[in-house]
Parts: sequence; structure tokens; C-alpha cells
Amino acid sequence: MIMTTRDQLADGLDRIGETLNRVAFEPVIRLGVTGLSRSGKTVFITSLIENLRNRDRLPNVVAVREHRIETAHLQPHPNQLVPRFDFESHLDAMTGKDPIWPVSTRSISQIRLSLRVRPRGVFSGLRRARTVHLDIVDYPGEWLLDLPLISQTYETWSKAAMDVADGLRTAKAKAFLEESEAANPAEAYNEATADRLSSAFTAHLRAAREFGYSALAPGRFLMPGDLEGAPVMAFAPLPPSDRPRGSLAKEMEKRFEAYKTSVVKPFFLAHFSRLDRQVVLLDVLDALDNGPAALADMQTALEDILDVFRVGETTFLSKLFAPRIDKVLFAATKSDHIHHSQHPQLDSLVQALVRRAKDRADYNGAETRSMALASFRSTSEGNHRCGGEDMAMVEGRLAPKGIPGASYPGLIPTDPKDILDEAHSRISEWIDWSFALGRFLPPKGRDATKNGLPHIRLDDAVEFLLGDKL
Amino acid sequence: MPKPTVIELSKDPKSAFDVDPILDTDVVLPDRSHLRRKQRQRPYRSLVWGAFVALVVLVMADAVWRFISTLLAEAPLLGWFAAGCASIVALGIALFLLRELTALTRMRRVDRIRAVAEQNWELADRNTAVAFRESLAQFYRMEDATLRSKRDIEPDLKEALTGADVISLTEQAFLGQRDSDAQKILRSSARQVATITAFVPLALVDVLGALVVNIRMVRQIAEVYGARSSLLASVRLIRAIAAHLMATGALALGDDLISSVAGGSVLSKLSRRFGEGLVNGALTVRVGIAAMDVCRPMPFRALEKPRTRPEVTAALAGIFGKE
Repeated sequence: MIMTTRDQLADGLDRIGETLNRVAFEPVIRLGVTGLSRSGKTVFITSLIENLRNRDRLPNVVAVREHRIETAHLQPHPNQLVPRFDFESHLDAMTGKDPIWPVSTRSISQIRLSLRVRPRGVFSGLRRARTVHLDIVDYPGEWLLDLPLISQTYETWSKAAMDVADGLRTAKAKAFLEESEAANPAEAYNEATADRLSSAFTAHLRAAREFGYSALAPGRFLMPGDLEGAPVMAFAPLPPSDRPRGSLAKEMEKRFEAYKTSVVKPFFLAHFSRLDRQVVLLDVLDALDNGPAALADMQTALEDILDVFRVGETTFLSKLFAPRIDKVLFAATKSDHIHHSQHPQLDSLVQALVRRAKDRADYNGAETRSMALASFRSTSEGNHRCGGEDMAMVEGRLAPKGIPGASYPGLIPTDPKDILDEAHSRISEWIDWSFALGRFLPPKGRDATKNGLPHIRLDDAVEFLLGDKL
Repeated sequence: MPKPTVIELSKDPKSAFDVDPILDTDVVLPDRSHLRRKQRQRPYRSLVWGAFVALVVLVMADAVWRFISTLLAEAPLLGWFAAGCASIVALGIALFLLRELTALTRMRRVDRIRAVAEQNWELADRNTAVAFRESLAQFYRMEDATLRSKRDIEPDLKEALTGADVISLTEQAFLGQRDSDAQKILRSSARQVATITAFVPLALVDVLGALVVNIRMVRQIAEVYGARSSLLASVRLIRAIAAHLMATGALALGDDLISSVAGGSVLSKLSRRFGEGLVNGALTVRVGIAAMDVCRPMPFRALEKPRTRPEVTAALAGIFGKE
């Protein structure tokens, strides 16, 4: 059980008020955007907003094609407690004189885009354009990894976390394990030991993340947000033992429970459980680049994340009480870094990665889709002779300096099963193919004739996520 | 297999801002925006109209009420008779309104189904397509049972793997028979119009006849596709068809069409009236095709949309003889 009865009651009352407001006045679509760090959330949101404000590049959005969207503008968000997504400075970074990718999401942020949409249908002639608010909630995917913790006890979590550390062969993991073996869980608590343990644990998690692993809870240790250094963020798993009052293990358990009630639950109640639509961005290409183990780990993380999605069809009654996510989009980002002839392979790989989650979501009545996406396209395509062969490459400004260049990252195998089988064996290199991504910076030369930012399939994503509400 | 490589280029490549977008399919959906009138913002208009209608109804109700009460006072028998008549009228109006309302809601449902059907199915997944099939089946389930069994086949979806396949099967199952029924109506109407224009000697009477036949055809076609006949719905339908015809320029008929049917036959050169009959018949065909376009719960995809020339030829072959 994620919510206690009291939680549920308070939450329910809150929602009834909110729903009445939505039904009676202006509809609000809450779109959650998440993904593990560096998956391209910020770029996705920035490009989404910019392209909805200047709709020249969204031909596949039906409402845009029918010229039914009159205006779109940013508005102050009614919720004053959550930081605003800094759209303007991200856009400046991406389209300035020397375009660079924006800095990554550290914490939750949200922004409201209001659209004036003319209705369609028989009575369209009788009704005026209505306002649809699009609330975009941006939160680190790492936070989602925490949601399964709610149903775990300190003991079960400790065991799982120690197992992961044991399976990893990084230096930091070893250091942490030595540290935890040295500590005696039943001894009296003292801050120095606790501090040593928790910082070793945090260091191990960060190192594992650097190494390309993503299935790591607690997620706030990786993305602390504003809680950095608070005692609630300073705990670590310990080997199983008795936990007498005042012992180190007891204190750790207390902190773990505090983390659950004051960090994980509020996020779940205030944000996650209120989303209508969800985008999960996946940097599949980066995982392919990092090798089989990274991809296998991404799949595990994904499954953990997706288990907690409260997906299901929104019916009239359930709408009054619990808005649930009824559409989920899984998008492999940065697909402008490969030639478009490779997109079907990338798409089927994403499909294979999210299969289990998708089955579950389908079963619950939510619609899911996967696609290869580029929120802000940074490359063009062209053929170049290279090593005696004519190769289809992508061209652009190579990171980090922005010199012109072209990249051929290798071919993705057509059968995703082959890739995943290799991934599960956790070997260090792909067996008989190779993949290495060339990295590009955002393009220069924003043109005056066509507004909006270039992208790949962002309009399909918008149509899938919002089409029925526009 | 070549190894992954990164090379430097001597000159700047094209900026992504200037290249053509990557499109998955070259399916271009019809732009239906012309069917929707440009909206003017006049919030007070509905208020004024509402007030006006309320006033008229009030005046009428009041008049009837006074009339009946005075009559009851003076001649009770006549008064009761008038009261009976008035209540029958009131009941009739209520029934009429109910019918109009159900017809309109049904039309609105077609609109909703159609809105779903207009998406790009090459990209949609199978679940969406199956859900769409369900909504269409649900819509036609309310029809008269005998008509239904004649017109619907339950498609076998096991074979269909992609969303696009499911949609094609659905279209064939639910709309195949309906399309050909509509086509029959269209042809016979075209024939009637041509005959009327060619043989009715009085000017204006033939125009009236053609108009009546056209309106009847549109209503019949709408019923074939599952609409209920009603006044408001017909008005809206005819307006939509008119807009559609204007937008597609279907009314700009040239000699080419006449020649396509009469094929330079002596007939149309001999008699001006026969020529006119041909043109009017062809126009009716165009109106009919527009009606099919507007009433169909989904755009033509797997099934072929009837085209003007072959339809005109087929419709009028009976009268003017096959070439």
C-alpha cells in the first residue's frame, strides 16, 4: 500500500476540488516528462514549448494542420511552490550565437503553456475557442526509482542494495563494501561512522552511475535536489543484524523510514500520481555506445520505473477521484545522431526494451507508444567516402568545439532480441558489431522563414500525447 | 561491416534548420480545415438569439393559454377540444425535438469517430486501431438488425498485424456494402435528374425536380452510413456538402465532362436539353460523392473512392446508350 487511509482521504478531497475546477472551467493536461539524467528532458521540453508557440514545424499534429490552435503562450503556474522550468535561458543556450546543450535537470520543475484551441465537430460553429492548459512537469527519472522503496523495509532494501554493490566490480563499490563490513551494525550509533558509511555509499552509487548503471535506489542520492546534506539523505545499507535501540542499524533504519515518508511520499502524492500523460525519454543510443552491460542495466531500471506507473483508463468516476496516466510515450532521444535509415531498428529496440512495461500498461487500459525521436535536430544527412566506401553519415557541428564533421556510428542489428541477449550476458563489448556515437552540438543558423525548432517526430509525439485533447 | 568513424569536414554542412524534415510515410491526409468555417468571436450572439427564441415561445404559449381559458369560460366543449388539440401539438413538438436531438448526437458521434479515423494510421499502433474498430462496431450496432446483417461482416483481426491492416479490414467489413449501397442511390438519382432535365418541358419545374431528387439522395446516403433523418441534421449536412463542393471546385464543370460521357456523341449536339440533362446528372453525381465523403465515418483508405467520370458513365449509360 502506497497511501494510508488518511493520506487517501486528504488527497481525494483535494482532487475533487481540483477536478471540479477542471471540468467547470478550463481543462488542464498534466504532462510528465521524465527520463534518466542526460536523456534529453530539458531539450525535449524546450523544443516542445517553442514548437507549440511557433507551429510551422508540426505538420503531423491534426489541430495544427486544421489551423485550430490560435495562440500559445506561457503563463505563471498556479502552484507557487515548485520552481519554474527555465524555458527562456534554455532556449537561449540552444539557439544563441554559439549554441550549446542546456544544463541538465537537477530537481523538479514545471511550467504552464496555455493554448487557445477552436473546437471541432458539429457544434464547432456554436462554440468559442477554449483554453487548454498544458502543465509540463519535469522531474528526474532517478526519483521514480524511489517509488518501489515505499513498499520495502530497511532490511529487504539493504539486502538488495548490498547485492548490487557486490555484483559491481568498481573500486568505489569495493570501498563501500569494506566500509560496511568494518562497521558493526549493533554498536552504538555515532555520527562519524554513519557519515563515513553514507558517503562511501553515495560515492559508490555515483561511480556506478558514471559507469553507465541506472537501476540504483535511492535516486535522490544521485539527484539530491535541495536536500543535499540533510540527515535524511545520509543512510546506507548494512548487513542483516539485530537492531537494538540506539544502535547504528536502528538509526539507519530510522533515516530510511524518514526518507520514505518525507521525501518519496510527498513527491508521489503531489506530483506523480496527478499526471495525465507521461513521456519517458531514453538515451538508448548512449547505452548502446557504452556497451551491453549499460543497456542491460537500463532495461532493469526501466522495468523498476514502469512497475510503479499508475496507468489505466480514465473513466468518468475514476476521473473524479484519481486522475491516472492514460497515455505513455517511450521515446529514444537523440535519434538525429544516427542516419534515418536506422530509425526503424532503434524503434524496435525501444519496443523490445519496454515490452513488459507496455504489456502491463496495455492490460490496465493505458495507451503506449514508442518512437525514435529527436527533440531538437542537430544534424543533416549526407554521403561521404570513407575508407574506400560510400557511407550514409550524419553531419553537423562536432562536440565539444563545434568544428564541422560527419559521423557514422555503426549499424544497429535489425533483431532487437539479438541485442538484448548480448546485453544480458553483460559482456564488455558487442560481439560482432560495433557502435560508437559521434556527438554533435545544436545547429547554427536559425532561419527567418520557418519558425520553431527542427526535430524528428516531435509532432507525432505531440499528436499521440495531446491530440485527443486539442 | 565498416567500423564506426567520425571525420572532419572541410566546409560547414547544411544546418538542420534548413534541411527537409524526416517524414515516415508520404501519406498526405486531406486537409479538411476548409470544412470548418472561420470562427468569429461574438459571445453575445447566442445570448441574443436565446433571449429572442425564449420570448417568441413565451408569447405563443401565453396566447394559446389565454385563448383556451377564454374558450373554456364561454364554450366549455369547444374549450376542452382546443385544449386536447394543444396538448397533442405540444406532444408532437416534444417528440420532434427529441428526434432532432438524438439525430444530432448521433451525428456528433460520427464526427468523433471520424476525428479518430483521420489520424495517420501508418504510424498508429494496433491497439488504437482495434479500439477504433470497436467504436465503429458499437456505432453500427444500434442500426436496424436486418440492415446490419446485410451490411456488416465481422472482420477476422488475427491476420492483421499492424494498425494500418486492422483499419483496412475494418473499413472493408463495415463500409464495403454501405459504399456500394450509397453508390446505387447516387446512380439512380443521377439518372432521375438527367431524365427530368431532359424530358420535363417546363423551365424551373425541372430545376425544382432536380433539387428535390438531390436532397432526397443526400438524406438517403446519410442514412446508409448510419445517420438518422432529421431537419437540423439535414440542414447541417447540406451545408457541409455545399462547403465541400465549393472547396473542391467540383461545380466548375467544363465541356470535358460532357464529352467524357457523351463522348462527342451526336445526341448532345442534336439537343440542347439532352446536353443539359447530362450536365445536371454529372452534378448530381458530384453532390452524391461529396455526401459520401462527408457522411462516411472514416475517410476512404483501403476501399476506393468513387470517381466522377466512371460514375456518370455508369449512371447514364442506361439512358444515352453505351459508347
